[in-house]
Amino acid sequence: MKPVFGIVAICVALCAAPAFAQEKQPPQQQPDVRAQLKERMKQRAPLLDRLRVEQKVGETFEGLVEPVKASYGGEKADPRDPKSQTISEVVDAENRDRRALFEIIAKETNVAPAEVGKQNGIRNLERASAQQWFKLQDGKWVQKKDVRPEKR
Amino acid sequence: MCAALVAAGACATSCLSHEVEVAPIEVKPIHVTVDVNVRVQRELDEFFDYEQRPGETGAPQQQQQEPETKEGKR
Repeated sequence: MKPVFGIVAICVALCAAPAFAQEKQPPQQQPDVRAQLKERMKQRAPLLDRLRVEQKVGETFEGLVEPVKASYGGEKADPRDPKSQTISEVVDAENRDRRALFEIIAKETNVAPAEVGKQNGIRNLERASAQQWFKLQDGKWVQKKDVRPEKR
Repeated sequence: MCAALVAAGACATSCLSHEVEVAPIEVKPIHVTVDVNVRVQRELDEFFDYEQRPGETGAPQQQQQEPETKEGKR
């Protein structure tokens, strides 16, 4: 009787082994969200650059983008193309991606996503051209030439 | 008599000079204190490595315009 139990035990072990092996394998590689974000933002960058130069869009203290005037939001991002997105649609898409990026960096650096956004705002202010508009923490729009960032 | 008084008064007032002092208008830059987080800045620099600094794109000259106030937007 004992050999029968032994054979059954071996069979069970052999059948179960592949299942355990499958569980221990690393999960199928997730699509690289960061790379996807970067690709989308990279494609959107020339359009946003143009909108910033045209002073339709400015950077904010929170590290996001916003139409400098609310009325600009409804304008076509490319006035020559009637099928193009509105400025609001471009801004919303960019901000969605930026928020996702802030979440990723926040996890990696162990800080709050809002802090990552603020750091992005500081970075954008430093890199902005003199005429570019920037929305301060109190909601006031100012041009870069009128702002003196003081590092601490 | 009245006419003479009015004429004398008119002459007196016309001799007065008015000086209004206008203080020079000075636009001072807005100072913003920023706390730089080096680790986060490095991550952001790495991610946005495709960005170009202003002037590198050959973008057209910017126009001057006034944005509406916060109150006007909301």
